[in-house]
Amino acid sequence: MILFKNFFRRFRKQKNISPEAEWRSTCQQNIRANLDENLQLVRANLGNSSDVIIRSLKIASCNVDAFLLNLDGMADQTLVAECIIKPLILLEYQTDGNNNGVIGEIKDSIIAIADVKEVSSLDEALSGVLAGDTALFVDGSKNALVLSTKGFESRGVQDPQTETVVRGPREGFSEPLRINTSLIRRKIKNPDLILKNMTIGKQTKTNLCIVYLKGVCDEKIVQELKNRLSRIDTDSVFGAGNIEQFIEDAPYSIFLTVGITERPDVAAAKITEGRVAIIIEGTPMVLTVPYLFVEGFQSPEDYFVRPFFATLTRWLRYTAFLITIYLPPVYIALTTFHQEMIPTPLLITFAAAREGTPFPGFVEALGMGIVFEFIREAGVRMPRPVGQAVSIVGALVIGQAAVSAGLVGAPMVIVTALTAITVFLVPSLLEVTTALRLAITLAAGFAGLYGILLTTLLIFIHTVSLRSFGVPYISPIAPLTLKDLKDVLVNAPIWAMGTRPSQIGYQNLKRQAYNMKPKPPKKD
Amino acid sequence: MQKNFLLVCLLIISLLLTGCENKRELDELGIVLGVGIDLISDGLIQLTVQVAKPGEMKGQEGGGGGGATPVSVITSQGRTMFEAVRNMTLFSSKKLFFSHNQILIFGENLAKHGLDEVIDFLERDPELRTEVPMLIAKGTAADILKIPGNLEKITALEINNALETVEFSAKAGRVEFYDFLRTYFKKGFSPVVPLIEKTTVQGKEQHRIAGMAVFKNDKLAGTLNEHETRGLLWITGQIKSGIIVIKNQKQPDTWISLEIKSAKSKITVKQKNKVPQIEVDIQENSSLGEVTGPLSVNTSNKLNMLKQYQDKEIKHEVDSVLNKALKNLKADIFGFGHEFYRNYPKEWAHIKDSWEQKLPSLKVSIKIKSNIENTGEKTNSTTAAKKEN
Repeated sequence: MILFKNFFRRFRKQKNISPEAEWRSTCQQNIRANLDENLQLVRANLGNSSDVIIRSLKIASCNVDAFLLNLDGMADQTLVAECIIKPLILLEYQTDGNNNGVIGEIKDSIIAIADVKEVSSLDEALSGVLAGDTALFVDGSKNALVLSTKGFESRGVQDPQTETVVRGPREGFSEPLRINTSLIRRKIKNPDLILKNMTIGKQTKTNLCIVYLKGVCDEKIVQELKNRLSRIDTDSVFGAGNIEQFIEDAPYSIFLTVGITERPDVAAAKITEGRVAIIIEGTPMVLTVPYLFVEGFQSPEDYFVRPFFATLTRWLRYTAFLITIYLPPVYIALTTFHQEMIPTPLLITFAAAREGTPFPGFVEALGMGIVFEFIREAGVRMPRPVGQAVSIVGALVIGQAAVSAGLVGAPMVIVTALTAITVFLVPSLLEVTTALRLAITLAAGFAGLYGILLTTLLIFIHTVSLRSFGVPYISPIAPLTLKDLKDVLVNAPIWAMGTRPSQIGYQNLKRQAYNMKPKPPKKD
Repeated sequence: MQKNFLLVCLLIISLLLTGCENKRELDELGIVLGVGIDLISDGLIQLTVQVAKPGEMKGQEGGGGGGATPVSVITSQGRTMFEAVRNMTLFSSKKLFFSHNQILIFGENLAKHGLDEVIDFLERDPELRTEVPMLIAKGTAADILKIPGNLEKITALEINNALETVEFSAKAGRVEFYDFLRTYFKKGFSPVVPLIEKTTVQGKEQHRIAGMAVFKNDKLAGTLNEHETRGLLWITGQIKSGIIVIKNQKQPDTWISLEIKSAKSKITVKQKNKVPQIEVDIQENSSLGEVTGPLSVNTSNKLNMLKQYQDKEIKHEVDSVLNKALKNLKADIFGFGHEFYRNYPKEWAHIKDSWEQKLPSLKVSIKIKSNIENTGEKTNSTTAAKKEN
């Protein structure tokens, strides 16, 4: 890792003038008192775009010229007409005629919009307009009003696509930031829930929102997150992944140290545990930090079903994780290096299947693994209507035909299929498992079980050295916190989860009352 | 920085230079399932192996024919065991893989000549397992391995399984090569190994487990028949199940079968006037399994009578083996000498050289305590019940 850092440092010694600052300097102009000058400035800045709506009008109450500025499609035009234009041109409200006070009068007495801001810089006015607000410029005033009229089409709150549950809420995050923050606000009705806005991206000006629970969350983590976010100087942010890569602890690691979810209930639960959520405008994916390895195995469903079943399914996931990583390498290692470890009848079955297949086991495993990745990738990316074609090709051509043509042994197909199924039991670790499996398979192909052991050791060494915002990545397993295993080794009943994870919520450890085990009333 | 990088590289290289790099694809391997070793003329060692033909094993689906045997038997010769193994490559297209060997058979000739010639290789080679059951063939081992499988497709597997099921008759014991070696190295203990022979039943060649072979050191000294083998197993406490057939002395030509439910034995060695005294305690539990002729076992008297018969039968079996082993063969297959050595190590030093001579005159007292737990689902025999009607 250090080697890489040095490697890149060589290319980094360039002049450090950010284009952002340049752009700001031209734009950082104050609003003029003259309406025509303002109009020209706006025109110059917005470059006569076709969606710019400039509506000149005369304010009826004081007989002053003014114009409204907003973007078609971004602002709700009925709202603009009903609550801004109508009162402005119709309301004959008596003013004291002082031009400097006009803007205040309008704000206080005429405009029927809830969120109104008075700004003095053109930049602020324009960025409001670009976000869907309407700006009101009044002749003779050095200030403008930014009126919140955001009203663009959005997808609305729908079923989360990537994390489905049987019992539990069905709403998922959507693209608009406000909808997403409201989804969390609706779950945590607590004044301590703090939302802090930031804007990132020179071109996209993407809003994002840091959400945390004051008093539960460690302020140092919030501060660190803010530091990492404010360091970002990029052109564009289109998704959660863009931000994730800038704030990760270990960018070269195959392990993810930033959590990602599409479910408001998951995000809210993590916030109440003491984590920080980052909601990014324009994506239904919300990031959470710190993110621990065990979170990949915790499904929201676990907390909605009864604890025994939840424990069982959690162990299913652990098993699936091990199988998906280790099955192909162990199969290769045993069949090409350690045949003496396979029970005799099984060995003969394997040998019978291998008979006449042209490729070495290692190549077979690698090939089938890649083919599966092809099918998976095609399945995600293809247009819906051709889905059937892919499944037919995947199942028949590659599974059935490869075996009957004698290209691949049947056990290898079973191994690949098992690997493929089990990988989806822990979907959030998909990237990790795929990379790990490949690495271990390569090692197994070269050195058998010895190779598997070595790579496993490397993985252990690597993961225990990882941190996510200062929290050990493998905790609560290493370092071991026995108390926290209630949500790792087993799925304790909800009434028994008295404390927050101690590595995360140590500021306010007690989550709920202890001794809440339900029992029948005592007989008198 | 470069130093660290070099260090990491060295570390990785050193991890990979551990040797033992032997990659072999499954289809390059000839999986050996049975090994037979014979001594032929000129002192040559003849090795016979059963190699699996996995392709034929698939069988059921689409195979149809069924005529093809799933194993092939290959024979090679050499001056030493290892040479014979490597000479296999002259006959086989695949490299033989011995780790899955199911059975180790030694020919009679070799056993008589002494197993020392081949044991070293079998112990030394890491690929060969010592946990494999061992047998002595009447005749040559090659002949046994050439018998086509009967119930199973592979003879070696069939013999291996047969050695496990033989405990239900308790007429032979399963002895693994490792057990053999262990007894072989013990003081005052002669190894026994099950015997196998080729028979023809209704024109079909079959193998049959036929008692046990007695070794003195590494040489075959004699054999025990099934009756004597049972006696041996009583003394060593290896009986898990089996049938005791006794004659109903009150009715001519009627028999009673008792099923052994459990059996234990304890060998105690004492010394009286510097003369070793052996005591064998045998405890046995059985249940009445079959009665021919009219007999109703409905009183404790009758049950006691059966117990006496049973005791007598066990005693008879034990006596026969003691007689055979100690007097005829002068082989301590029960480990009396070993037991004596464990209790009196100093005295053993004096008598160990003359132990063999002492065996015929060794005083062995047998105590048998047997019990019949139940009479099955009824008391009266079928014939008796019919008469009462």
